Amino acid sequence: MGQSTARTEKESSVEELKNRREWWFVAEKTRSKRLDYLRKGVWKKGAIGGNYAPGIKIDLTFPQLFIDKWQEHEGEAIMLQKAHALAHVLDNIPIFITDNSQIMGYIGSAPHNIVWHWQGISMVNEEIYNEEGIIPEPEEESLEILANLNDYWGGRTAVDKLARVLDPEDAVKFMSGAIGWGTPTSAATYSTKDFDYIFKGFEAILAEVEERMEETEEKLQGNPSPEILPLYDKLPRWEAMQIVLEAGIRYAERYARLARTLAEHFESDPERREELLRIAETCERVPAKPPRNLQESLQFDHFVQVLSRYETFEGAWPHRPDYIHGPYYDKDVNQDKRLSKEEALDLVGEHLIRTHEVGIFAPKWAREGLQGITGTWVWTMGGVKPDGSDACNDMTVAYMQAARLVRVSNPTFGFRWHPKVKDEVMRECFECIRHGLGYPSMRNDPVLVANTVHWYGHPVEEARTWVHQACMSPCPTTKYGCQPMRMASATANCAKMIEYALHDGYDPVVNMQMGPKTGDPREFKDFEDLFGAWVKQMEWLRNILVRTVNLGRVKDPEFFGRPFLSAIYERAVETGTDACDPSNGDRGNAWVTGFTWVENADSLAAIKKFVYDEKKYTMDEVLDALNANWVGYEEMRLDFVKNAPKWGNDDDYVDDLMVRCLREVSRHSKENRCPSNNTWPLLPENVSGNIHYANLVGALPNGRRLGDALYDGGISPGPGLDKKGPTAVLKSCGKFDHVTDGRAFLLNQRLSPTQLSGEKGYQLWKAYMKTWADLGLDHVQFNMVDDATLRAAQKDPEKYQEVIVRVAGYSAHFVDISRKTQDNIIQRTVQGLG
Amino acid sequence: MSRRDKWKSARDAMMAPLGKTKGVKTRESVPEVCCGKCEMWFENAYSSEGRGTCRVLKMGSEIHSDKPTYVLEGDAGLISYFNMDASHCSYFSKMELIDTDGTECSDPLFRRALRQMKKFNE
Amino acid sequence: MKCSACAFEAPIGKFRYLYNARIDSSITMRQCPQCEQWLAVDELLGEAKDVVNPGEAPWGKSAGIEGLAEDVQV
Ligand code: SF4
Ligand SMILES: [Zn+2]
Repeated sequence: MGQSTARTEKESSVEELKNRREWWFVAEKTRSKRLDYLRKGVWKKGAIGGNYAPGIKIDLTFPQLFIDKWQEHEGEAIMLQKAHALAHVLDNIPIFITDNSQIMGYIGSAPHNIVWHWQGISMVNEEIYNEEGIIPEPEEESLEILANLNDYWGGRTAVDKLARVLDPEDAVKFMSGAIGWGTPTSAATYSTKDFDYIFKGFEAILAEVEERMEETEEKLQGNPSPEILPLYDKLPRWEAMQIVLEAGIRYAERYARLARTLAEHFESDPERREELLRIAETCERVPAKPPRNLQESLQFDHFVQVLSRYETFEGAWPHRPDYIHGPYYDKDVNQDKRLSKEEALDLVGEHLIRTHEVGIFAPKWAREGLQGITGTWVWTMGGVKPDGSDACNDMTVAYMQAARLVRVSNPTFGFRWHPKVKDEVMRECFECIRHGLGYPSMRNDPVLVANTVHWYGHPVEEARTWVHQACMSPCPTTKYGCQPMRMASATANCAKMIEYALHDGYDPVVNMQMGPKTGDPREFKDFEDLFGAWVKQMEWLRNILVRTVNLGRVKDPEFFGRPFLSAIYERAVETGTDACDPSNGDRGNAWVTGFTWVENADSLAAIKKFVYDEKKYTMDEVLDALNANWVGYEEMRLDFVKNAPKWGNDDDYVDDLMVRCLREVSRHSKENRCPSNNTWPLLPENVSGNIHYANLVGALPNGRRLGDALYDGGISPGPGLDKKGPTAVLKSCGKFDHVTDGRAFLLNQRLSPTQLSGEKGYQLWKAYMKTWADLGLDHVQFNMVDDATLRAAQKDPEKYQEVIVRVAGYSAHFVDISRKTQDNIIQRTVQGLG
Repeated sequence: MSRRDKWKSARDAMMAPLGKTKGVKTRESVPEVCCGKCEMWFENAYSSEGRGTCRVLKMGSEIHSDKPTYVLEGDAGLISYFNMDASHCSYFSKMELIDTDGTECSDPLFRRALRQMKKFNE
Repeated sequence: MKCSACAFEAPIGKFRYLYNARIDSSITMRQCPQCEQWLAVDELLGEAKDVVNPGEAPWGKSAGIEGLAEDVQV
């Protein structure tokens, strides 16, 4: 067969695949050979349901290297002790270069390994020991190593220490698993990074540190006074920063050496030899010095991300790569013509793949709550510059195009929409959604900038630099705006608010008196009594989480220590403090993530209508039915589902209750204060916590039983309960103020891929987006994969490895989520537009 | 007992095992009769290292001696571990369906997805 | 209730409750304690209808638009 015939066949089959909307096969056929190789060679680190994929092993080299130096430096300031241990790891951890790869850096000693951070919480260390499938061969030897490590760290980890300081009642209730999740330590957290500062290069930061140390030492030689006393503690912190920055430079140089050795002695392909030499030059340059071109800027960025993750589990990836790398792309591709668009796309595609490959062991609750991925790595695209002008650039487009070619589930994108976004960029967003990626999620930039100013008082120019701190919450990337330690443990299982209001504060599932005793609901005289109980439970639930997390935050520099993060935080370098120390100028950007939120409004509405307004059922009957988990009350349950008003149908009866609940929370959000004395607004969203909590929330008056998936989250209506069409959903969601009534509000919508095909489909979607923007909503994201495909993938997962779905603040490969989660996504209402 | 003391004992039961040197042997042992094989055991959802609570016995109960103490009233359940010896517990009730499939999600009543339990189940 | 796979008989509560097929339908999924199969159960009638394997949808189709697009199971 001649070459030209082969090409036509390939092309025609791509056309056919496009017509059949089998985008995963289209991607496979249209991406470059390099991207295809890299994509297929990457190890899947996200869990399948709650388990790691076969072949993934826990890294035992890293903890052993770490502990060697750690014990040697016992007794030193924690940041310094850790810096020594980390430097030893970076100097000795095995490194490798994947064929065809151009971006270096990996967390762990082999590509199928995942690391963990044993300094965080002993329970996780023990969980690793008990986990099936991840213990490296020979198992007996590995278990011995793990047992020794765990015996050493038992009682010494950050959370073990925190549990001794916390009020014991708070500690027990917090760790009951019923009301929230997360670990109140920066051992499991995420941090905003200011690349304007970091891109100065490590050498420049080292010089700054040196200068500060000299200044300080001079003061310490001077007149004795109380003012100089705190300075003694700063010196070891600066020293720790020096140690890790220097180790970071040496780590990059190890890659340079490896690449050069391969090029000079082993590589026979002249093209690859050139590439290896370019890699060597790049790693000799960055992160020591500022980047000069796209490869260097991407490499610098990736080294920083990798080094951060050697230091701790960063569960999210706050980032704005189009904004950071856009100027280098422009220089290389448009001005110097040093790179072709295709070559640039290879780099961008690999940037996504290298990020996708990062995996750090997560405890089971996190794996279940974030099925299929290793963290909520929502990269921020588009938006505006500090002066308010459009920030979209060629790199925005390149990332969207690359995403459609490599189809990774992590990172995903959140797009900062604003009225000046050009049509060509909107089309790129839509293409990604149409290809079934589930991303970008669409964010309303003017609303979110205003929201960021409203809740924390960030200056507007700083608010405009925002990135998604995790899946949803904006955070400025400025000196005082950056958040070094977002505490995921301020995550509330909100359905418990109504459950406790109906059970006098008792948790019938975990059998514990959790909330305050707000009275037997049988004695409530009217709906206001019930609502009052709900408010008290809501306040209690938020208080206990916020208290725990606030304490975890202020104790973190003492219990955990962040030498590397401090070294890349301008305010920490300047003041010789740990980056997580709230006293160094952190303005505050805290929020409480509200899982399982909408159940409250739907349940309250059902009781208000049936018990108090219509008196169709007594409270006694309702409680009996709930206590029986609705078994034997099926007709009554269906009545509660079908005939009580449900959120998302533009029905004021329930929508007003939703607004009322949000306003109560907003009031309370200002009463809760973070260590920087700023507010704690609520952010309703779910990730896949709706599945994790399914067996932890008892039967509710919205008609769910213990075991049923909770709603898919944020302010999304219950699956199948939004019966009035997409505009009614938007209208319900537009009834409260997305600036002042909370931090951000997740909305999932499922659309029909057939209806939205072609130009007509784009125009329908654009009109929908206009209504969305006009109503002032801050977020919406879409699933656009049909049932038939999802069912086929459930039946035959091997064939559909690259089918992606939007779960809740993130996307996952459909085959990597549990069957219950899969079914929950299929249950969602498919909305017809227009 | 003051509020603080009451919860302190629960907190200590929860945190104490972490400070102990256990080695491989203790960690691997799964007694024939243990809480993880009992219908009353409820796995903790915050942590999957094998901790859980009893659904009948409350804090203050003690099931290890020949003459166990059973406390049936209280604000919090007895904290126990999947491989805690329960041969003296008269409330033990053998669980028929033990789900060791970790690819499905949290189900504290049925799921025991620990490596050691899987061994026993096979 | 009788298991449609192995004919095991017990009160419905003995069958492990998994989750609902859809909140607005009386079909749920339960697991037989004897053969461990997943069953579709009609909670109104208290009857096991069938074994449910991955890829099968006892509730038929997703909620939402009718006849607009082929979003139904074929
Ligand atoms: S064995 Fe006893 S203590 Fe353990 S879970 Fe069963 S009843 Fe509770
Ligand atoms: Zn059966």
